[in-house]
Amino acid sequence: MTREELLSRKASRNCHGQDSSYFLGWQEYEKNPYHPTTNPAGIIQMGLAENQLSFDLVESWLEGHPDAGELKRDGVSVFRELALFQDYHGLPAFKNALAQLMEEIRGNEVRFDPAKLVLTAGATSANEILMFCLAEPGEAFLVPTPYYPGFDRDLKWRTGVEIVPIRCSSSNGFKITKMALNAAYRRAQKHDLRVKGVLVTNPSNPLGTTMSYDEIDTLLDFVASKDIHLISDEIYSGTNFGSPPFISMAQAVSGRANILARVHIVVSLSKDLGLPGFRVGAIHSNNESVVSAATKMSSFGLISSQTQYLLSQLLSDKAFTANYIRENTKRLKRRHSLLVKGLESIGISCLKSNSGLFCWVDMRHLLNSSTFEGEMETWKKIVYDVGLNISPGSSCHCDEPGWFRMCFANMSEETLHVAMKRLKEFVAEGNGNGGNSCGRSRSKSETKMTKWVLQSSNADATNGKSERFIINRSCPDALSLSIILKSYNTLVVVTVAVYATPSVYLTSTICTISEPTSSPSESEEIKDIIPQMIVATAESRERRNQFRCDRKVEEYEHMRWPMPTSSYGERFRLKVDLKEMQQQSALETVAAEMETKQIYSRSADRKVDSGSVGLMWKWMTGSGYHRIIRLKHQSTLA
Amino acid sequence: MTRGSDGEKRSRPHQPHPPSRSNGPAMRIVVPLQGVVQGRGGLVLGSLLPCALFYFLQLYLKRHRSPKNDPSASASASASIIPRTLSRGQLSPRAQPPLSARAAALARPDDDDSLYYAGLRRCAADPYHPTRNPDGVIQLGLAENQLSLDLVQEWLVKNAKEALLGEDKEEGLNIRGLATYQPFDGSIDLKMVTNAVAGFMGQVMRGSVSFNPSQIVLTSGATPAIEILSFCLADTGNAFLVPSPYYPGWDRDIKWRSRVELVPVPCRSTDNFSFSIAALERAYTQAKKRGLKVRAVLISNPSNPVGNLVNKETLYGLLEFVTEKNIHLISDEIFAGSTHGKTKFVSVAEVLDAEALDKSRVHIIYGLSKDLSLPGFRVGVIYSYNENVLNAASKLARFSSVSAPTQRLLVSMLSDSMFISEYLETNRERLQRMYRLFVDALKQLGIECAGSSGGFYCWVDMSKFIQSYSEKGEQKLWDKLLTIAKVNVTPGSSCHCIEPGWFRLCFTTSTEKDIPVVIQRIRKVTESHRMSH
Repeated sequence: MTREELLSRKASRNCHGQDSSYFLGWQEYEKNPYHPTTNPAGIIQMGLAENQLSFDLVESWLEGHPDAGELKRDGVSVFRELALFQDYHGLPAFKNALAQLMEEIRGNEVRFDPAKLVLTAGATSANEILMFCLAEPGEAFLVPTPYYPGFDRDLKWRTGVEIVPIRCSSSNGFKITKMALNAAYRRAQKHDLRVKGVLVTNPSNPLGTTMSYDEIDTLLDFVASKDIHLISDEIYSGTNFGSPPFISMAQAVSGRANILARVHIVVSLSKDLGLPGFRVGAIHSNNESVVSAATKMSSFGLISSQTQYLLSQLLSDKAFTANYIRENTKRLKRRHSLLVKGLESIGISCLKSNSGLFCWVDMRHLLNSSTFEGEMETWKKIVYDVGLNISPGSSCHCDEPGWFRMCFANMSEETLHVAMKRLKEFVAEGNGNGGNSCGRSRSKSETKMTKWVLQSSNADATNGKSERFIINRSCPDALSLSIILKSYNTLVVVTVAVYATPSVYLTSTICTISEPTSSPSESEEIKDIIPQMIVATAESRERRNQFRCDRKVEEYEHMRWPMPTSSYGERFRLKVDLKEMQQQSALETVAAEMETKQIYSRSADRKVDSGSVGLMWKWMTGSGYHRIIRLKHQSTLA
Repeated sequence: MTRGSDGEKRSRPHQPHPPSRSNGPAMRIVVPLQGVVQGRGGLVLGSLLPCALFYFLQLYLKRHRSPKNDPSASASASASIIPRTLSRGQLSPRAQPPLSARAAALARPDDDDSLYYAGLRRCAADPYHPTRNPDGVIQLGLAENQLSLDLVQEWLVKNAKEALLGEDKEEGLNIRGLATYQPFDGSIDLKMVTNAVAGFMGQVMRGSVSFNPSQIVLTSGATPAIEILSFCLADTGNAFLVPSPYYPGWDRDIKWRSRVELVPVPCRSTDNFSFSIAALERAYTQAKKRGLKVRAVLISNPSNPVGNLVNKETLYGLLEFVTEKNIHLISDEIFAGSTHGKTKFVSVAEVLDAEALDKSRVHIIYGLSKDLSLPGFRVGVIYSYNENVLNAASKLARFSSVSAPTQRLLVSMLSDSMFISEYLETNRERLQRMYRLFVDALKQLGIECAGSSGGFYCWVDMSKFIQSYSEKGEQKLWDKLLTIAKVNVTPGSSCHCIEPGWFRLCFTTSTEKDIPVVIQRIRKVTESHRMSH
């Protein structure tokens, strides 16, 4: 027996997820941290969601109230009671104060009952305890993507619980839709995973957005219909600096008695009060059994009595908390707009957000190739060459390459300016400039572009001003391709799902094409269509797998999106630019990309059609369906 | 190691509930009637009449059911009577999705776990105080040390402010250092804390061992420390061999979430409850036969609840044993600095230093709860010689990290080696004095203690006061001690002791003035036993 075998699987296996690029970036930062005077060339930490903007407020309070730190009450030491205090129900004064702070942050529209509060050593521990309480090893929780990279470790490692992603897409601002929820649920079922609940972060980490009433309603309906739990991780509730205002799950669920007992809220002081070092988290639940079990489990991560006492003093100072909340959100707002405007000025946009300590930044146009390899490449350049540690979307399980999380509250304003300057130089140098987002440069580069045509079956030209070509990861098993056409003001999305019946290749083809439009309302409409299409595509595939028969025609009838411009059986063609790709290598890239999907790669039979057709892939699925996608060089089209 | 004051919780009535008591006669009415009526051919009457009667009886009982007991009534109820269990339906209404089996077991009302916790709760609900509550329950069941709190307090009064905010220091350690994220296995300056802790541990061992700061992982108390080690060393269903009697909390701490089995290795009074390698060998073979995979031996040294020390020879033997079987050794040494006898405490680290043994299988649990009397501060230590375990444990420690202000305070306190050595010395003296007083007082009652030289407790033989020489007899005596004498002690059965009649009595939660009160109270029970014989 080797020594490694001697350890448990949990300890010896590399399943803690701590090797993702999220943590890699941290390690790089720690090797070479930026300092304005001592190390001005170092890496600036933008991967740490920490709020340092309002330390002075806490600091000055502590100075004014030395008793709290010295463990005194009215000048008399309370050390004796604190030294021995290890009741896992927590210090009542602290729990009351914490509950009141949470109510205050939620506009005093909800009630947090201290008796329903379980104190834990940080939200990390709170989430893990809830997993221990709600699911057996091998059961699953649905989590919308992109999500906090630490979840892979916090939720799964010791508990043995699985995470099934709810795939959200940029097309609707990463909102959670009913279809995405259902698709995730079905995917879990397909893998024989029993779904025990949904976990959402609201305000979202890494997006910085809050959930709307509609979204929450969708979610609550889903939870009710599937008879599962909902964990609402609201550790960023106090960072809501803009409109729309944050809606707590506690508030949304108050009218729904039927699911009151299955909604569990996680709060913490790490973000709301900027005190992560204090390791204070809490679970609020209306479920007595959960509270009771979680309280006992909290003995594995109790908060030191000294810290509880200190905070009970701090938080029961109402004038302080009110001022803190007001001042803190004001400062966050200012900092946020600084970053957003800074990025805008160099042609980088962010997802519109109203909370959090970070922005979700769209750098898709900076990628060499719209793949996750491309994202890694750009990320490495940004970390090593530019000297900014930001978190790549892939570490957050984002389905689309090119998104990054940038934190703005853990540094001084000067440092942020330095960061912006560095990024500006990087963009100006044209580093990693793959596809283009700016109209100005497009016409120039277009002439250099190799024209490729994505073709399935016979050509029936539809000209779209195409720009980017990505294989949509929103439904990796659906073999759908989305081509995002970005013209000046309008986002036009074309989703092509390629299906085949057993008899004829590619006769069952779905295609939705929207012509570029300058009307904003129309483009909004298109944006709404996309996720539906993607989900429906995924769904239809799943359904077919279930029945294993050719139900193509019926499937079409089930699909609810606006009728595709090319109808069933019709042939179509799209023009795609694969910029800066040589003919063969471009195809290889796409092939590799396809193979990462794994589902088809085993039986992939790739062959080059050396005639006028560029390259053809043929996939044979387990159920005997064929899929073919051909990429043709434009010159071969006559 | 943790406890809850569940006094405020709605406790279920412990009394046998009224319906079952009155159901007896009801049944007796029903059955003869059925016979009589049916005998005369009245099938309808035969079934209707008893049914109707039974219905009215139910109705009557329902209307006359006694109201829910108030807490004091439930407190006085005997805990040894089997409690009424809630049906599953009551626990979670059908509308609720199920919890995990782990949580469902934990969420049950508290009355079904061991007497150790039952006693602690009773005590928390009605604690003794010489003036405010002279009739309350005296706590002898909790291993915490109140003898030297004044020393720590004195230090804090002098140094707390500076330690916490560090205003005088050049670097200006301010709230920024306190509040921000720390490496999860350490603190502000990880090295600063582990250095301080390692230094303190060395002082506790009186310089016989020096501890390497890089082998330390900090956790929020020894409870998570032992749990994290369990997660690291064993998979679900694997087993640890544990010489018994052992600390009752381990059944919770180790079994709950990591789901590791504990196999007791029974020790006997004839050996003064010291374990032997032969016994370990036997237990190992038996566990194997049962299909259990043994992954480690877990010992406490100084032992909890007995208080005896493991001698050097046994430690050598133990190390040989674990090497031969290729398993781990976990040595819980949280009482290392709290010795009161003449025998010198030998840490497993000391033996390892002296011998060229494979160290990577040895892990030590330590904490400040006992030796510095600071359980409230939640500081535990995993000291391991295995790099992989250290790596994994430091990552797992993020679920149980120590808060930064507490770490800050400790760095100052532990680095003040003058204070520490004075503290340790004074504390030992006080322990020794209290131990002698306590043991002598018990002797007056004719109660003998097992030989011990460490810990906050005596391991007391009260087998001559139990009516039947069995676990049941022991439980009865425990119950009498709690309800009549009003002292909470830990019965041997909850420590998995195989000989009935042994109890753990902690003497560090009382003052010298309390001793006569304790003795007088225990006398109530022992006298009444003599009278009845």
